[in-house]
Amino acid sequence: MKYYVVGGTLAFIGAVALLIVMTAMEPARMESFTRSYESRQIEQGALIFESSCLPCHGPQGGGTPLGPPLNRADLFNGEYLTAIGWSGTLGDFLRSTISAGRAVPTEGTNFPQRMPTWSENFGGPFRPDQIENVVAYVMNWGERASAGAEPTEITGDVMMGSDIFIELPEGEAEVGESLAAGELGCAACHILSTVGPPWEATGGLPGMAIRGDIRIQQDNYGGNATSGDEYLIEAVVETNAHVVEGFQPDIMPTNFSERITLQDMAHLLAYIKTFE
Amino acid sequence: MRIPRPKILSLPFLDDIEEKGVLKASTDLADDVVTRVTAGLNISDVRAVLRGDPPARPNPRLTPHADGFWFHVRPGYYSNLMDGLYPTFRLGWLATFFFAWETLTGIYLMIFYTPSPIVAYENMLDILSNVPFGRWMRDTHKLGGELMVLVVAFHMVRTFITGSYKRPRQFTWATGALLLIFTLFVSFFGYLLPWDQLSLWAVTIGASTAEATPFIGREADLLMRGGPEIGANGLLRAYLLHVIVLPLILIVLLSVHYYKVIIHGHSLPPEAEDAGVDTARKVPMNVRTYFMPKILTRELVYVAALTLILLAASAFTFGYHAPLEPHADNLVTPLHTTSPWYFLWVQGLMKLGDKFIFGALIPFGIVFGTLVVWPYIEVGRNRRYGARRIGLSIAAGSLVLTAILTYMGTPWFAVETSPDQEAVAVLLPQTSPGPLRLADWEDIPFGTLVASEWEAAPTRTTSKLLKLFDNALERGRDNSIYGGVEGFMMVEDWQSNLKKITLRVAWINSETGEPGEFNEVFFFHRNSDYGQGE
Repeated sequence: MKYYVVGGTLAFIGAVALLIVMTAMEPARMESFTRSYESRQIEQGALIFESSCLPCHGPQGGGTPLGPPLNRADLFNGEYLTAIGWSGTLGDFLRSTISAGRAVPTEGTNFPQRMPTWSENFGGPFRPDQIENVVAYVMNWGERASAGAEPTEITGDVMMGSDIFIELPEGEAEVGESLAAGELGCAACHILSTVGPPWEATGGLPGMAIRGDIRIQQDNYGGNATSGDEYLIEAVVETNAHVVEGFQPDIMPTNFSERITLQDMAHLLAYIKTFE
Repeated sequence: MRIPRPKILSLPFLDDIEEKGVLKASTDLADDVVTRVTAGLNISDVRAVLRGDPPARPNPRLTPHADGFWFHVRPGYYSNLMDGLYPTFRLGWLATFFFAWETLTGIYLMIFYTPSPIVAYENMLDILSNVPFGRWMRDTHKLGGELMVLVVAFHMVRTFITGSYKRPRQFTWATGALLLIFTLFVSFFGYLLPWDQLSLWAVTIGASTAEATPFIGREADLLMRGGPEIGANGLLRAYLLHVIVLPLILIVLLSVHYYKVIIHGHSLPPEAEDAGVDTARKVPMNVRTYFMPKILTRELVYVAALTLILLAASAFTFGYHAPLEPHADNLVTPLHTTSPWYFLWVQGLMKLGDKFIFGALIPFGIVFGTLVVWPYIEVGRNRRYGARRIGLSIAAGSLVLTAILTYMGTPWFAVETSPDQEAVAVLLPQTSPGPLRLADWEDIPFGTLVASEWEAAPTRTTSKLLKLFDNALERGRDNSIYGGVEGFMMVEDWQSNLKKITLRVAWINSETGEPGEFNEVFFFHRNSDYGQGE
């Protein structure tokens, strides 16, 4: 009986001690499995690539007359994404393109057919986790594709960031107009509809050119701008600093500080200031 | 004479304080609470139990067995022939322990699981990579489940050997046999939930026997799978069976089973009583071992020891880990896929012929049916081994037959596969990581290696792998179709940290002169690190 009690007590203490050791080891274990799983995604993606992507994109992703190369520097350094006006990450771009394919062959190319849809969500053969595997595999070219490539020159494309007091270069209203209508997409909500505050003068309000000066005087103004120009810049890059009454926060995309260059901001500002 | 003061509020405890003082009133209250909670033992009784003091007379420790819920399912005393590990090995208790263990770990896993083919596998990966203790919970739930099947089966074998199923315990045996059958099923449906290749195909094989049910085979099959193949409906059904329906049935059966033990007492070893007589209910005073404190203490000790063992079994990378294969895929059947091990005997039977006779009638009708009603067939009252030669021989024969059938259920019996695929599967099995995936990534150089030249291989790892490959090809060398069969391993640098390894078996058909070839490609990443518990 005594031995039982002693043994049981020791076993209980042992179990608690082991539990403490395990608790200490858990973060490392979870991290290790995560790394290993990400590596296995690449392995699985490679197998899928061999059977489904290789016929058009080539054995090493080098491209064929049927499909563009994927193993190339400009895909990984952001040039390509900028050129097509993609605002998300490369992973998002790959995921979306592989899943849904393309409606038409890529613009400006002579490829005979469009990218097919691959995700079962869009009528293709693969499950979402298989799409993720292929994305992981394509992303794994990044290191080598970028290593052998010329470094991409940054030519004045300084991003705007979220500093509203920054000094802007000269801007041209016509360039700003095409940006608002095209790449940046401002027109959809501010000119063509009233999803966001209209830039035109409406109701009792003057146009955007003057409205900033009025807003910063109002009691409920929550931002940091001290001038009308700063107010307009803030509205673009620090979207939620001040939300105009009657609108909800986050309806305006909050990532313009990363999407718009300093120069484009200047063009856009020049354009907005034509709305008097 | 004191004049009682008028009472605004009637609280007996306040009256007690007035009467006995604060200290005495409080200890009396504590004593009262403990007596109510333990259904009969006051504080000093509990203390005496914990200290191992002899009980007072009449023994107050019997009251909880009569009045309390938890103790009334346990006998107040055992015969001292039955109080240790021998002769029961505590297998019935152990089965209940695992039932509780599975319930607790199962609830933890349920928190992180959704029974849908869209996310179930992802949930597994999350449990492994993001849930604290997730891997251990999964491992121990799986291990506990398999051990429970074993323990329940051993419990039955033990009961059979000692003849404890005989009158008056026929019905106890019947509930026990049903408990075994439902334990098998609860474990079987749990198999499907991770939604990996292992689950899908093990359950697909098992479920295909439902099709062999007479008259309503197609309907039974559809009902269980939820469609022509196991998909969202099938997974949800398996989940509900695993977590609600079958556990509820088990609880009901378990309650009856326990109650019957109280009613009939523990069956004594056959040689301890006269032939054909059952004296378990009348344990003389001088051979009684009271449940409290001895049995209770031992059981608490067993719980502590088993918890420690089960913790340790899966705590570290080198322990037991529940397998997790690639995502379930109805279009890809892995080579060497089998039903769960405890149903391999059914798979073995099915290789013998007709699906209805060997897949449904014999295993589920005759075997399970006979098990349940056995005590009503073999009605002789004598439990002595000498009087039960036929029964014991049938049991021993059945065990041997089960072992043989289990072997026949494995892929090594009567499954036609080509030696080339088999040889590749030795390095790259489809149902476990295998030697190539577990090999040292750094130690596999680029280039082409030939299996028969394993002795000249550039590294130890490749030498070992090629030797395995070459040995596996031996089977093909005896076959005239595989003239001059040879294995190759081609390793290419494919991406950063990614090697492409092609295993190729090439031969010339000696009869036709045609060349033949079988290739399997494996992409190997530096950090894929197989064998860390999946």
